[in-house]
Amino acid sequence: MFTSLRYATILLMLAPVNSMSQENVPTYDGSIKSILIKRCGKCHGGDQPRGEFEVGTFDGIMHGGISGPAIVPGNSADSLLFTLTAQIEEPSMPPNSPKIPASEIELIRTWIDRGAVEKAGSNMTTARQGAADTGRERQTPTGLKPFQPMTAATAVTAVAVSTELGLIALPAVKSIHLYDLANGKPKGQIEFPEGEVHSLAFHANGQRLIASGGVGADSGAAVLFDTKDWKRLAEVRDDSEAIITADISSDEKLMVVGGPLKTVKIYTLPDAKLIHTLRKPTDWVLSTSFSPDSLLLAAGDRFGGLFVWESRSGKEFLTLRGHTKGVTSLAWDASGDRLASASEDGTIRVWDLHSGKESHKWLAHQQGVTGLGVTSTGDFVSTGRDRMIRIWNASAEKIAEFGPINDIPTKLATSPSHIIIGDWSGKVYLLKSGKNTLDNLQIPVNSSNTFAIGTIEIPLPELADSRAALSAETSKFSDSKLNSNSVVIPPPRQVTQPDIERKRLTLRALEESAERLKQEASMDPTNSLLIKAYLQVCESIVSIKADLIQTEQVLTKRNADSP
Amino acid sequence: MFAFQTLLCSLLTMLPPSGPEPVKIEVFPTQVSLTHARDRQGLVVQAIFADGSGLDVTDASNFNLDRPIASIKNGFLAPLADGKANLSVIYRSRAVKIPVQVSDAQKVLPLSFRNDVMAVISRAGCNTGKCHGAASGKDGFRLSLFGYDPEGDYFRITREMGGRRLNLASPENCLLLNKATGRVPHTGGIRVEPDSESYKILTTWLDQSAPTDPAESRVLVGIDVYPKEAVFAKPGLKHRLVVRARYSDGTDLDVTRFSVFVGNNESAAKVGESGLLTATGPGEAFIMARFDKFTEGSAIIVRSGKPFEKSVDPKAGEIDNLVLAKLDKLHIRPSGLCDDETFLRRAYIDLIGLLPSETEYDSFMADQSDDKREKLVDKLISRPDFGDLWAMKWAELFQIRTTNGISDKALKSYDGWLRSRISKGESIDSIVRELIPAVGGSFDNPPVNYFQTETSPQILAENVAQVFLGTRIQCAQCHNHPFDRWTMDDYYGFAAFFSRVGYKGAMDPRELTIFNTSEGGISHPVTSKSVKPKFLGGDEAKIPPGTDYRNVLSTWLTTPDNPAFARNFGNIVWAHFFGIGIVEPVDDSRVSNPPSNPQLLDLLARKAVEYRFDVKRLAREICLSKTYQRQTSRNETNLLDNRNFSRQTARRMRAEILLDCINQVTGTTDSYRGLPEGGRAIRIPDGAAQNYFLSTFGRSERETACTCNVKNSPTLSQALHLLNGETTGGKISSGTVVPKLVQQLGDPNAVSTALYLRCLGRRPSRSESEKIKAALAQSGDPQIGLEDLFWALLNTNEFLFNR
Repeated sequence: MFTSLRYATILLMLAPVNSMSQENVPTYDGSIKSILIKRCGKCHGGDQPRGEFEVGTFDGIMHGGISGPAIVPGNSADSLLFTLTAQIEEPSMPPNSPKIPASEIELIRTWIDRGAVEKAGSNMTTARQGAADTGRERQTPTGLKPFQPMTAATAVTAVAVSTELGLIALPAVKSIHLYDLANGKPKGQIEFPEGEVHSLAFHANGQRLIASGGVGADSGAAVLFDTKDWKRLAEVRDDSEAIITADISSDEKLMVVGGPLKTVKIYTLPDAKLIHTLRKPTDWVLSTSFSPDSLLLAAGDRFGGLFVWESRSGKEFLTLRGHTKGVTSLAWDASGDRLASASEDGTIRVWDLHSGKESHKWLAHQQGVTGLGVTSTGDFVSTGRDRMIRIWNASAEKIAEFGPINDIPTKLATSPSHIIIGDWSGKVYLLKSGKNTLDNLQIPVNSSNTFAIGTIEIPLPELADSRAALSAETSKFSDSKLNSNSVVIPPPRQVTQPDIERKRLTLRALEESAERLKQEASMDPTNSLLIKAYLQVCESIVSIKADLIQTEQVLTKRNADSP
Repeated sequence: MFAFQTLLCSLLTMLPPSGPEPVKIEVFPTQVSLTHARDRQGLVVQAIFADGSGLDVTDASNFNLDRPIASIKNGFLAPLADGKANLSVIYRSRAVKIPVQVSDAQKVLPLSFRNDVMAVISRAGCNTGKCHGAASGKDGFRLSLFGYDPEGDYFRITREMGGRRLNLASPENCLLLNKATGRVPHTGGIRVEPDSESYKILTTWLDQSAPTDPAESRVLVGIDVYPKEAVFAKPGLKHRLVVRARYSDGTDLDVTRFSVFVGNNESAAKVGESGLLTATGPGEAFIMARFDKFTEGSAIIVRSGKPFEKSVDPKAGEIDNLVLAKLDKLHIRPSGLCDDETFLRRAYIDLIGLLPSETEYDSFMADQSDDKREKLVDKLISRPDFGDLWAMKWAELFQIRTTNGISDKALKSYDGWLRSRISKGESIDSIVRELIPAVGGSFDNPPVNYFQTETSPQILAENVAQVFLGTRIQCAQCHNHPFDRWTMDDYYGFAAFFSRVGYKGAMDPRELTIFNTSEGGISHPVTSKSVKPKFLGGDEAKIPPGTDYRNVLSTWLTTPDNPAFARNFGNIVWAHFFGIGIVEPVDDSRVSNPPSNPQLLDLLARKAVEYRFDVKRLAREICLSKTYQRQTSRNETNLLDNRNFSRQTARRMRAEILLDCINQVTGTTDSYRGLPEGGRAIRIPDGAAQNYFLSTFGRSERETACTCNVKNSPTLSQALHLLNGETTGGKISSGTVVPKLVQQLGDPNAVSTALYLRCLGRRPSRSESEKIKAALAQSGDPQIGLEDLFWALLNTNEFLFNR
């Protein structure tokens, strides 16, 4: 039985190695590219990669940088990509940071040692086989899918509403939920495997939906959907950060995205080609918006910066100075002559685009404005950290207010018929035009209590080894004589009769304890800890019994040996 | 017969441990109370041996509970059932019993942001100064430094950026956890291991919708670290630390695994993340554990492991006994006593800042009585120079200088006030009682100048804490002190005492009038609420209406019941005579910088109170101790010791004393601003007065209240100035000491001996005499040769240093 167990172990150990050698050879396209872009792309990517070393393409990686080639295929030990990443050599990478996860370093090492191939089926000698199959690896399922409730309510990070379609769009886990505007019932969902959804907006009278989001600090995407069949019309991706805000021009020719990378990027549609990277913002880009005539583009950052560019040329048009904290939301008036901005500094400001001057400014929500929109009647609607919703006319007079709502409102959307507000706790409110009350949208939740504090295991503390300390002298002596490969066999300790007595004594005490525990446990059967303790004691009894028998044998043998 | 009514839950191994038999064992903590299902308590068992050393034997001890109310594994107690029991801890022949109490064994407390989530964040290091705890945060995300503002942190984690950081619908895939586990690029790397307890606490908190704490949550009131001290017999041994948190509802919790451990001396002991420390070499280390806003420490001593004989000295005094007790713990033998010549020079410099004259030398050396050192000390402390020296030291701490519009006239009266008080024999406590509540015009009532030197309540509070309590509270202005117990509440509570200092002009435009505004206050920057005056480390002050806050403060400061004031005074006086304080730096007493000998510091504090803060009496006691009179040379056991007064330290004379001594031996004078020609440098009234020599040698300009303004470190310009500058060469020729001595004594060798006595307080050794003789014979003109010798003597370290 012992032997068969050992074989089983060997088999288990062999299995993964075997399969690796045949099919799981890592490839650049398969896994290395995404690791390198994720971990190194911030510096070694883009237009001006650091050290002239670019990791985003296979050619770039093979070409190396100013320090020479990064890879010697088949030899990771001589490959800077590995030695610097494993922080064996200087300058260690990533600079001034801990190593990337060991599993990824290992993958890089294996990839290099196995020849640093580009994709499955290719090898170094055949070089690149043209760019025929550079299409996306995985096909995202499109179309309307059955509605699946979330397991818990979470902050409403985006909201969109369309009167024409009669739909509300809300974020869900890697998907977008659609609700019927008329009766509040869930209608289905669209997949968004890219991650969390940070912005949603309907365009062109409900014919288009733009969604942006991703995985923070990892990857991002902005996707344009055709609401007719919920197919993807265009996609923009970012290799290192989520996209917080996205917008398309009314002529559907341009898309703008922004996020924590502090850049505003303009793409053409439908080919999703990057035409401008605007680096004016000094902090995360929180809001972007095209003017109604598509000619101008505005973006606000987390530092209070507010900038306007010409959308086509990317030429700077205006810098609107005034906000002292993050610009959270932007709204154009129908003519495109005026832009309203909302900020964490508590104010809403209206800017005249002809003069570049602030034409109105008012304190809307003392602790910060989180959302801003223009209603069908041309009024402003705002939400704030005071949990209030306020409606203002064009001369900044408050004409209505609602709230306080359950938590801090996070996002706001307007349509000719409705204003929709989502808050941090996951609640969604509807305000129908002409009505003076807030309605609640019922968000179904399939709660699953996966986590419970009581089940979290508490680790045992580490103890000092007093025995080793007391015998430190002897071990030091033997250490010097032994090399690391030799097996240290502890010298047999002289067992004495008192030892055996002690063990017997302990055994008896333990058996009594076990008995007591069993009784206690039978009186309190719900207490699992008692049963656990009982089992533990039983285990100890078994091991002591075994030890005792062995010790007795040793002693008997010795007594027999000695004359 | 074997009435073993015990439950042996934990069985380490049945082999009896080898090694010597301990004289006793100690178990920490001394009682255990488990109050909920997830409550745990780790124990640490220390065996104490005959030589006073200790060993962590937790792993080799047996734990027997007389009722099965808890399970024990690795010395870690977990609740099983409610009740009370006794826990016997047995190691070899020694046993200790401690009470164990379990209540609510089945009750799982709800997760708390303040107590659970913040513990995870702090332990992971997220809120340290180089990470998200930095004032501007890191990579767009800020936390309060070491968690001083939990409400703010809760807001920033949950609601600052809407839904970016958390996702309650998929807790395991939100930014907070992705970053913490390194699943997405994170500058700080992997801080939390997936599946660890910390990870599960975070996910569970998110799964419960990231709740905040109910208003009446229990509040952490303090932590304890066990053991408080450990003496290791030799390097290589290990010991574990246990950290227990105490809460406002009377409960406690083992928080070892959430504490951050830092040591101050890795060459003696280093500590691992789990609180397991390893002795690395002979010496002392202080290991601190930080949990939440509290830091506590454990004092570690590591002996060399070489054989050691206790030093026995029947003639040792109170001070000596405490010093020797510490040295015995460290296995250090003190150096021997210095000879009379050395003592004479040392006492002169330390007590009056001058060198003994040839006559004084001769009479002291000729005295054969047993108590001649005592007589010398008594003679020196009654000289006015002793008062001048201490007036200078206090003037530095009061920052007496022309600054902030203090006119020469006001300064003169300020300096004159301090000197007159000291010469009248007033002690520092009564001076402080006059200084702190001072009101009136800066000409009429000189101590009000203290409130013109610094005018903001914050800085005044910082200075008073630093100068009179030996504590730096500056850190707590912006955040709770990470390595001390001071919180922002303490800081602003103390600053509130100075929130009612009013200023107005007087008839003379150079004069300022200080008055009590009887209204106004200071507000807390986090809560924006007005803060009531609170004694530092004490309670909120009860102040009757109409009473000046500062009056109440000065009474509290100087009351004999205020241990901090007396300790600080004792330490300042002590440090003057050893060049290093028992707390060092003297004005930086904190949890993480403990006194090297707390018993000695307490003794000095007791004496200070007994002597009513009379510097003379305390100085006399210190100077007559054997500890003060030890040689500066080392023996093989105290080679590495710099903190335990096993020998005297060689100290460079401070700038003013050095210049006074140079003037004394060269028979010259200098003129200083504010003093008549011939005045001593230690009497210069104005800290802002400029003098090239004094600045070069590190005189305090009194710009801050820090004792660090006096610099005794050597610099190249000091050496060059002594070699080539006017102060030595110029004074040797202008003072005409050599020609006078030549005329008086005739024999060049007798003159060289006289120069030796003047400068170094000793006669030249035989080999020195021979060399001098040869050198003088070579130089044609004996006067030039002797002046060269004089110059050489002034450039020796032996002259510059007090040893």
